[in-house]
Amino acid sequence: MAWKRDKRTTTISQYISYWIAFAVMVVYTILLMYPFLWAFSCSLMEAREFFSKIGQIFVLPDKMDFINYVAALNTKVLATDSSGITRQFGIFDMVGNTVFMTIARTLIGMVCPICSAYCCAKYKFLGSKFFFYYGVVFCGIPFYGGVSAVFEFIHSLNLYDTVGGVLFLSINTFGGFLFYYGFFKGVSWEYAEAAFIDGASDLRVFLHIMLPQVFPILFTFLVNGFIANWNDWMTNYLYLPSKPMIAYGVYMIQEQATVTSNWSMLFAAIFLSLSVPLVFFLAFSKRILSTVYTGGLKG
Amino acid sequence: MNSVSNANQEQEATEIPIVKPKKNKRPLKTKLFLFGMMLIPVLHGICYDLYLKASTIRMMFSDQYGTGFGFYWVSRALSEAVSWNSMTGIAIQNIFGVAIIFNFIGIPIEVVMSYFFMKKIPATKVFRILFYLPTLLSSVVTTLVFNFMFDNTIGPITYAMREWGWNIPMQGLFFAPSTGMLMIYVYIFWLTLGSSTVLITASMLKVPASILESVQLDGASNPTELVRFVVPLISPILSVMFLSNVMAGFSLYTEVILLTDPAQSNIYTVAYLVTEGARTGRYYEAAGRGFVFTVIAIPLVMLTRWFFDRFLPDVSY
Repeated sequence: MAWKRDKRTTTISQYISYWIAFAVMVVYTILLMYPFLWAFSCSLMEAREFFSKIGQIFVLPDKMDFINYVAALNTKVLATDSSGITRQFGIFDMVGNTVFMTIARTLIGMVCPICSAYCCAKYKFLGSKFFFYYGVVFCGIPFYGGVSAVFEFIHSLNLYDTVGGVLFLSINTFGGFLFYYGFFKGVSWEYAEAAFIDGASDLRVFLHIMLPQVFPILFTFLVNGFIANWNDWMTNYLYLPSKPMIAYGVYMIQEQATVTSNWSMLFAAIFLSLSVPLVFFLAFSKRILSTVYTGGLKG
Repeated sequence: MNSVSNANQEQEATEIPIVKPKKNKRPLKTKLFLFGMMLIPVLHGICYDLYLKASTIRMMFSDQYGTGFGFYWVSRALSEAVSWNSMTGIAIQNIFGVAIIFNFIGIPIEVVMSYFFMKKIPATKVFRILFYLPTLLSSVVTTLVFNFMFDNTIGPITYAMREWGWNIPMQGLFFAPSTGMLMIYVYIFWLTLGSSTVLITASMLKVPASILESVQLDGASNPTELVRFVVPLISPILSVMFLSNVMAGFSLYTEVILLTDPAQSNIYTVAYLVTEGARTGRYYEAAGRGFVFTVIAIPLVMLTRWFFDRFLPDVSY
């Protein structure tokens, strides 16, 4: 529908209903965005100005002041490891931890399902069907209480609160397995056969012929996985509390800031933590939304 | 006669015997490749997974001290489950609360909004990006930002509600037992309404234009087109969303931790009870509760799937 009514295809009642729907969408968008805009506006205020404007629905800073962002960059949180040693972490330390862990966890999380999906899709071997159905059926059955066994397991191997422990937990054999299986199933095997005749090994065929063909789709998954891991605070909170990453770090800053009522600095820290996912979204918005649209089910 | 029989004999002699082809053996290097590629997936995906499941079942069915077989933790969790006001009982109520609210209120609203997106109302692309954006942000950020709105000290909406004569509880809307869970529902609604709409729109856009054109040529109104043609054609995504909403009640954890204080507001969910139990070293108690929740979840999922398989049309286009 265009902004103006096409009399041949749209009746007046339809046209009115579209504009009512448009108004509803605008209201929801305002409700959705308002908390972020309010917090952003408050992050640009000095503490005194913020407290003087408490209770106002529409707040705009008298002058743009980035002092809270400087304060957020200099703020430190305290984290104690299992041996009782307390360390200070600034935003840059947390970003460093996050970059390393996000890249490592994203890659580890994708490698296993890609390898197994490729083998199951393109080779027939003993147990391939069992593996496939185990992943599809057995892992689809809800099973609660397993987190106790995970905690017991990583404690028994002294992996609790270690980077190795979290990386081990990042292995996700059946995460996205069906998607990858479908992608590889759809790729023609003729190129591989030609490469085998030319003397290529299975590994070379996988790395140089099959993977590049599904790379655009894998890249979309990579971007989504990166954003999800960047934002993941729960793994950090549960299994690696002594090395705060940015999402968990914001939670820790919030605990400190609410005690000292340093709200504006907290808002600034929140928006600093958002910068990377937002840049990623702006850079790859088409790819990210394409996942949503290719994922839309039909019969 | 002789010449004919000789010719036959000659033909038989020259005929190539049919030999069953030998099974093509896979070269060793391919076997090694498969072994290398599948080693970690099999060890992790099956062995480790089976170990975790076996270990959880051992914890569920152990005695009070966790040293031998028994029903102590399971029976304790079961006796809690039948009590309306116990933590397990509250968690079970919340499973059904989430499922009912988000399936019977949320999905219809999302379907209607998606329909207008499909009709390409003005600024559809902008709406779609803005609706989807919050799901890409950290849940810490979205919960905090939402929480600020209703904070007793600084929340602008709390102040506005007070001015409009609303009675705000002393401990705040998120921490009061009467309003805490309701506020969590509001938060989830606020966050997911847009992103779910985008997902449903994606499915609607796959409905062939020819079908919709013929419906319009027959003079169907918008509500008729939506209810009688579009909804049945997107039933696969609706069934998936229905099922995920049923399961959502089991996985509320971040919202409970970051928005409320369960001890104060008396809000408990499955994920909170199980995860916090395990995190604080109460493995057996958490596993016992996990058993009760698993017993509820499996038939619930099966029943939902059966319902959709039985009653929804098999769509293909």
